[in-house]
Amino acid sequence: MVLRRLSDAAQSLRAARLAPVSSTVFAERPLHTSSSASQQPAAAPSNDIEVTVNGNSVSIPKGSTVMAACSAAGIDIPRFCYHQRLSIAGNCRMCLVEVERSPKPVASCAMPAAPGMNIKTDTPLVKKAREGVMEFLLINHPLDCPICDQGGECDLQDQSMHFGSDRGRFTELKRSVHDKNLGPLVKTVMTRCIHCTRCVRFATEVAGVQDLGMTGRGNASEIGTYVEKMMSSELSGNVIDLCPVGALTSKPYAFTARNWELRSTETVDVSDALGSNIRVDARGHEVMRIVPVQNDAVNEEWISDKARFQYDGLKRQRLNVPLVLGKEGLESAQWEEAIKATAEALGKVKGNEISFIAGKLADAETLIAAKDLANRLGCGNLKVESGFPDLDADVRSNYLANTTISGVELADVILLIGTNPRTEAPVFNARLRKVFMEGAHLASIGEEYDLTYPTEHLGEGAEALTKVLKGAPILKRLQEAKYPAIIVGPGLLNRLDRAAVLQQVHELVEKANVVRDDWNGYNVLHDSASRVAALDLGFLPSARASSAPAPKVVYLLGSDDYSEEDVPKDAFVIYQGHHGDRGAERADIILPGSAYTEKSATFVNFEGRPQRTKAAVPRVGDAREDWTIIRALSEILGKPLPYDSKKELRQRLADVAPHFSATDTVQLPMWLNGEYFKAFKDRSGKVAAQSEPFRSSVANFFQTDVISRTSINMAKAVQARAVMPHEGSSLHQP
Amino acid sequence: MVRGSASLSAQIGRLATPQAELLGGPFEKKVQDFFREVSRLLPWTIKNYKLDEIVTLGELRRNVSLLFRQHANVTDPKVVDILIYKGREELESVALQHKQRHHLIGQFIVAPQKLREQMARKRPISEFLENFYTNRLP
Ligand code: SF4
Ligand code: FES
Repeated sequence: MVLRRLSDAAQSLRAARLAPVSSTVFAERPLHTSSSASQQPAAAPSNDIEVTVNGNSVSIPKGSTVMAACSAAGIDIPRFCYHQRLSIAGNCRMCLVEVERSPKPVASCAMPAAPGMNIKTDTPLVKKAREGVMEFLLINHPLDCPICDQGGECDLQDQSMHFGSDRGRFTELKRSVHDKNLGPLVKTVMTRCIHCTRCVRFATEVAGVQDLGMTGRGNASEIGTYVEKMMSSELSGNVIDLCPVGALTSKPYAFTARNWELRSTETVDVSDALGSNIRVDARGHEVMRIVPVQNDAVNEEWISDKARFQYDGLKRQRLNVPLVLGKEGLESAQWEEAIKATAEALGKVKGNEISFIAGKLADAETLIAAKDLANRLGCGNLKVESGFPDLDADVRSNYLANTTISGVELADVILLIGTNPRTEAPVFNARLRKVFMEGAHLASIGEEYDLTYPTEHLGEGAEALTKVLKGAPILKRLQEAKYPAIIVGPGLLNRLDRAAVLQQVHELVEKANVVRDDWNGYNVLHDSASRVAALDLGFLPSARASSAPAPKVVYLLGSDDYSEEDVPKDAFVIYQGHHGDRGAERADIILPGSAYTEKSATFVNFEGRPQRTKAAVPRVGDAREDWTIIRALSEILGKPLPYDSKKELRQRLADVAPHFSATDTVQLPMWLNGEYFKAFKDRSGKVAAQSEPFRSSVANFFQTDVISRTSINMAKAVQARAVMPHEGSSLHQP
Repeated sequence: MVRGSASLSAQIGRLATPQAELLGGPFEKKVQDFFREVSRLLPWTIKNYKLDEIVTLGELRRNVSLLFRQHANVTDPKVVDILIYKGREELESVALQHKQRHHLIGQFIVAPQKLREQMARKRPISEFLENFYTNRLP
């Protein structure tokens, strides 16, 4: 009872401290959708020009293309090669329009609009031109739509229906092209390629790998990898979405479904802490594929290969019935028996002999329910697996990306400390690359990784940080920068000497003036989807937890990467989760939960944006939604939690941390003048900074959590990387 | 089939009809007799509805008797008469195949199972828990 009151008191204290922070809702930073979006204020009206499109005059900013003028007038121009996030190639000629006083039709995507231009898009000339282009494109395009995976969602198919001629005049043989092997994820049928070069531009511009290119000229030109190798990018799957025809399709999805039989659900990815917006396409009970959804503030329109291809892991090794350890090993049980057995185990021991460990995929609802239950049991041993469970979570700005994900585009000097964003959050890395392309200077401390853009490497460990503090040139650069940013990786927070290192980082933050009145450039990157929510909700060891005896009962909330010392040999282990992996193997009781595609749950990404997943497919077998398991358990323990529905539970979430009430928005946290950091000074005395280099926490990008480890696609990707080593790839460093 | 069922129903009707001399008398005896009637029909029911895949004769009999026992506290002879009347209606609709397999499974296999679970609980459970156990939460 005393303990409970204590923890309640701690909670209200926390809430009170949080209140002024989170009740201030800051307007979101303006989003930068494309690399052409300038950092200058929006163009003044005087910068606009007038053009006429089909007789209607529209005003557009100076420097826009003819295509932009047409779309401002509400006219959609057919296109293949133009893409708003890629450079302009102007090689497909599908976007031809007529411009008065121009001798021939112009490619509207590449032609800048001039004042007074008279553009026509519905004349016989334009119709003829489009028909002609379609005819040329179709000369060498095979007629294999019935066996093509793009069928039904193919730009070429749609546009030839719409703009093409009704008959062909072509009687010769079509050319054919050898398929290229791009690895286990992207399938190629290169005969279908129309040479729009979107994939090439994506690889070089966004993904930052020089793997794809065009060889040959004219009729002999081919898209390929020059020599046979797989695409060494973590974003390679995006070329599938970009390819307007069926030349690049998904290998795992090949021949498994047609797009019109799929049911789509827009939800959120949990394979990393970025929270990419995704669309889960399902047929019946099965997830057939995952594709990105555009969200300029988070993932633009890209997702990582892990987010896209790990879905086959959702079909394997699933836990579908409660299991209780009996005489003959784990035996299947009714829910009632399993919950009773769990309650018995928890009821037998003292509160501080219980320990809860949350996994990488735990959602906020489950975390708060587990925390409330733990508090009612008088247990404060709450942990998040794999590292820094005891990071101080009192001040949100201390563990979030304060610039926000889109805001980092403003930065002009960025210092990366102990992080490899390429493996920790590849889509964010693409954004950093974009910042670099716009002229920002990037420097890094820690092990050297190939980040797809050059960084000034300042050293490997703490001594480099000291050097910077003593006045290396980068310090001056940061000080002089308009928007300096520092990005601290999860690997750094994992270190034993964290306090000492962070103390130095903070000194740097102060010295370099990274936090200013209107700009907070201190960013922390995380690598797992549950982490920020856990910190927000205070799912941390309580003050007394350090003096607790070794746990006798361990409750794993989907935790498979716990460290051995957290789960003693003789402990009774309860595993609640969706996959049979390390945790389930060790467990005495298994309570089957649901995966992220099967529930509506809240996750917070590393900029502090709460986002909700939606159930795309039903739960497997007799599994239950995670928070309900804990709620049911609490009742059998005689300490019922005060919420019966998700609505009430979410109210509770919002009471503990107010930003949970506003999903999909970022409430910028207060910096509190770095007050918080002062505490490090006292703590840093305990463990001095060590010389070991700063390392990223993600060594193997493809297999980080239980879903991706179960996925065969991901295993194949790892294998392919191993046999086709790519020079400079950072993925297999120890 | 139609012809066949007429003679079958006659046969079953005979099986299920109490002997005239038993109609009066104390109600305990009436109930006992009715239970026997039901029991006599059970082997046929199992065979006819292919219930042997999910239940044994003994189990089914225990289930039926559990349903009888639900009314153990009824002492008013009139009420007993009505309960027997209703029971016989059920019996007939089973015998005449007015019920289908899933009706029987729900009524005589799943429902008694639930009853037993409920009786095994020390105290009543909340609506939430009930829904949780039966997987009826969203
Ligand atoms: S493979 Fe697809 S995206 Fe690449 S050039 Fe060919 S058609 Fe364009
Ligand atoms: S879209 Fe303009 S040339 Fe391809």
